[in-house]
Amino acid sequence: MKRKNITIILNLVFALALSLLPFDQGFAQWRTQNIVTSAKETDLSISPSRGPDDAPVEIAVFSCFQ
Amino acid sequence: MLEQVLEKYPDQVKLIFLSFPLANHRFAKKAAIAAFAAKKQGKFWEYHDRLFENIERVNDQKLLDIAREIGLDMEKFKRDLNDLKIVARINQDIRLGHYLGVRATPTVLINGSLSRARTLEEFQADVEIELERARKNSVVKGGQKG
Repeated sequence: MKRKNITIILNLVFALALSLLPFDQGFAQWRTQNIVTSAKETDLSISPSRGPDDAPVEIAVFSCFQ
Repeated sequence: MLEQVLEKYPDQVKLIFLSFPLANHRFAKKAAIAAFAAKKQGKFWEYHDRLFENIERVNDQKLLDIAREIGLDMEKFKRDLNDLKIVARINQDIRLGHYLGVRATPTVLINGSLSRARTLEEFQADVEIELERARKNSVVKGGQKG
């Protein structure tokens, strides 16, 4: 009896995980699209910079002040 | 080290600052906001340099002290510390960093590509490659025009 209950619960968990999969994939796709879009919109020309604007080499540095 | 690269190539290299305050550093985001508030008064790099000189002692009071020391208008500076546009700008940098897979700082992009350079010599080598590429491109463009 106990084993049967465990099997039922495991099946339910498996079915639940399967049913959530499309939502999870959809969310991941939505998230990726939004992050990529916003990242591409980042306008580096308004970031603080040193050196000539028409320099052939641009060195961008991700920095943390601590 | 990047300052040395700038000194060596004053007409050919532009250094761009991107914020990536690490989550485990308590005052990092506040410091980034403060630096951008200083930018609004035309003193970003002065503030930036002073922050890095005091990197071990950054706290709320230090952020104000540096602003005062470099002669910022304190009323405006304090107002700008709550400027949501500044926060949005910093968040944009952070999103760009996440998109590019940045996990630590400093992380360097040279003409948009992640650089693995760690020493001055390696950075110079990367810059030379990009300068050579730019020279070739300008020759090709010149040839197409002619």
